[in-house]
Amino acid sequence: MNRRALNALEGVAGSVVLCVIAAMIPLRSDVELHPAASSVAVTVTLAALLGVGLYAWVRKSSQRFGRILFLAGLCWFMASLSHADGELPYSLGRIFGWLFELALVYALLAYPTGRVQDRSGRVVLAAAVALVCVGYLSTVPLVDQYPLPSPFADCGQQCPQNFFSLTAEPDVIGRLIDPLRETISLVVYVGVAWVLATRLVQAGSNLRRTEAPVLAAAVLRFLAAGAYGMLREGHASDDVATTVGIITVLGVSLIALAFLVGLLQWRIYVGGALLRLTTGINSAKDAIDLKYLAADCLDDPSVELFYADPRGQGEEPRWRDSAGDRCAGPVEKPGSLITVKTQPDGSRLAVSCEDGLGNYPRFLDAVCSSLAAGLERQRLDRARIVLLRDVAASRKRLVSAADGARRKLERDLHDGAQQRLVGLRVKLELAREALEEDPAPAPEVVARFGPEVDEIIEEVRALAHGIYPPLLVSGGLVEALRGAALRSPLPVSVEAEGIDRLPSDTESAIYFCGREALQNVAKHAAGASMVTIRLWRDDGIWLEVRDDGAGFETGSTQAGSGITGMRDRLEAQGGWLRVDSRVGEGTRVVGCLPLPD
Amino acid sequence: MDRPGPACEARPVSASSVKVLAVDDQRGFLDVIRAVVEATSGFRWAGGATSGADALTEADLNHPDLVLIDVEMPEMNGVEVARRLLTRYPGMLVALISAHRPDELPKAAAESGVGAILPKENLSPAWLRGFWQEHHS
Repeated sequence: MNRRALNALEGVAGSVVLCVIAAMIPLRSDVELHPAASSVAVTVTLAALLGVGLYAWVRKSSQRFGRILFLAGLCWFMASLSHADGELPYSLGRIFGWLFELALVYALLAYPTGRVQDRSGRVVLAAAVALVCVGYLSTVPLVDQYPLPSPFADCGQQCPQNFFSLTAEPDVIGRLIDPLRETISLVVYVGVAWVLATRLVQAGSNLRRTEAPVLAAAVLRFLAAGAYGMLREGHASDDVATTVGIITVLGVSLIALAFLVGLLQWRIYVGGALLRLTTGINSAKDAIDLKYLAADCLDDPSVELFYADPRGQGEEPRWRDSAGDRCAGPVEKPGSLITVKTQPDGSRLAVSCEDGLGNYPRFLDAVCSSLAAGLERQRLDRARIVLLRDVAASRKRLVSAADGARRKLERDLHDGAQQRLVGLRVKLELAREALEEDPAPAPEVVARFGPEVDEIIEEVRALAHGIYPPLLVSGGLVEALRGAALRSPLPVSVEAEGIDRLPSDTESAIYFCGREALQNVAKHAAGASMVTIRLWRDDGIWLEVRDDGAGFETGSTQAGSGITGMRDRLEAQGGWLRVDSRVGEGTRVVGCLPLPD
Repeated sequence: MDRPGPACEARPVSASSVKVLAVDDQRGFLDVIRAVVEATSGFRWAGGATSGADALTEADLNHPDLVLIDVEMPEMNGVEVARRLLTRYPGMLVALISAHRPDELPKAAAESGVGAILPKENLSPAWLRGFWQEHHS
């Protein structure tokens, strides 16, 4: 069993013990008028306060509130001592009765987060504290008897004296202090009800379901307490006062139950909202869909989303709204709350919603995290589509280039070596027929064919070299590029640092890019007098071909098929290619291929 | 065009010799055809053309008896040249020659009405004589 469950069990066990003790006090009292009824009322109320307090305490989202409510329950337990017949326990019980009222006001104002977040709530709480301290606690040494009748005592005229009395009770207590503090108590109760009502009005429908039961129970209890005070001032009959007193006591249980209902309603709502959110995110196509999804889940039509793509460190984010339009970013408005989520890649999502949701930071965080994940998924989907399109186009170009190379090869063979071999065959037949008639010139005739065969061999050799140079296989990338450099019409220097043999795919991709770049210099680099080829290793294999020709404006010139082919070759193996050039400053072609693991 | 070597020297020409026109975009092979024609008795070289248009002009000028046409030529291929010559001169004997095998040529070549489709490497004086005799026996 984990620590949390153990603590909960201890709390339950302790609460049960306290309830048993609280139940026994009225039953064992000699001065209690209705011991059974008092026992039930006190115990039920104590059980409700401690039980709901424990429930809220074990939930992370309402932990702080749970502690406050449990503390109120402990105050209630101590207040139950007022049903005892001894002066000391009775006096303690009466004092804790006032402290309980203060704890109840605190719990109502701090619901559900455990913090009194609005200014008006803090003012009412301060007034309640001042009332209890100044109006009630400070009079303890001055009174012989605590105010009667009381919802916390059912001893009629037999109630014990004040154990803490130090002096005779001055008249001012009865004439002035009592009515004044009763009035201020009513004002405090009205203040609490007003704060709760204001929160209810400002809350969205999702939050009203948690606030409404509490407001209703609080108003009922305060009405009963107020009525009890007036009955006491009016010296109403004991039976009427007792009945209203019991209602006042049970009103506390009602408040505790209202807390429980509110907390349960919230849990049910959160579960449903998160379920709708997580299932709806996959079908959201853009940020606007996400915004409407969030508005639906939060029951808040005022929800707005803002997002910013990742930028460099120190750069200001460029915000867009849910429609994708550039904007200044999320702006705090009265009644709204901004929550910003920053992803590991630096992208941001800001959600603007009603500020009441700020009482539920974990729920809000879960919603924002889901929305951020949804936005990220949309961004990745778009990037994937673009990437797939680029890959398909590149693949098509590569296949087309391969077909084109095959057609060129067929043409070169047909027009070159094949024609010459066919011609040679015909000439051999002619020579055979001629030598049949006159064999004498046979040596000269045969010798004449030698040079023609040599030319055919050279032609086939050059063709083979154009397809795949033998030096690339036998000598490697550096030697093959040096060989290509020797055949270039311009002076070419090849610098290779730390380049040994590499996988054949890598060598062939870099070689053919370098050769194409050399051919481009010869064809297009007007005024070029030299070319430099550099090869080096730096977290990959790098190739640079630089010339001192006329250069060109890269922005206004579309890449030709040669450069596109080079780029496709390198990108097919996870590399890249870039062409840098300026008019009058030559051209630099640089590419890189990652090294295989 | 270059004259062929001593083993391929031309035979003496008579007025009744068969006039042969050759059409091939490869000038080198035109020389080879000329050597074969001049090494075949009873045949004489009537000229060479490197395109279909030139071939039609040469045919109008020289009225050859036999025309050898390469199939693979740019702009106007040999099959089209043969078709136009046969339309203009129905009695002319035309053979298509090619570096490809006959089964690698388009169907239009076989349906063009020419007298023969010959792989280039099989061109020889014996073949020329046989081809002419077959169609003029």
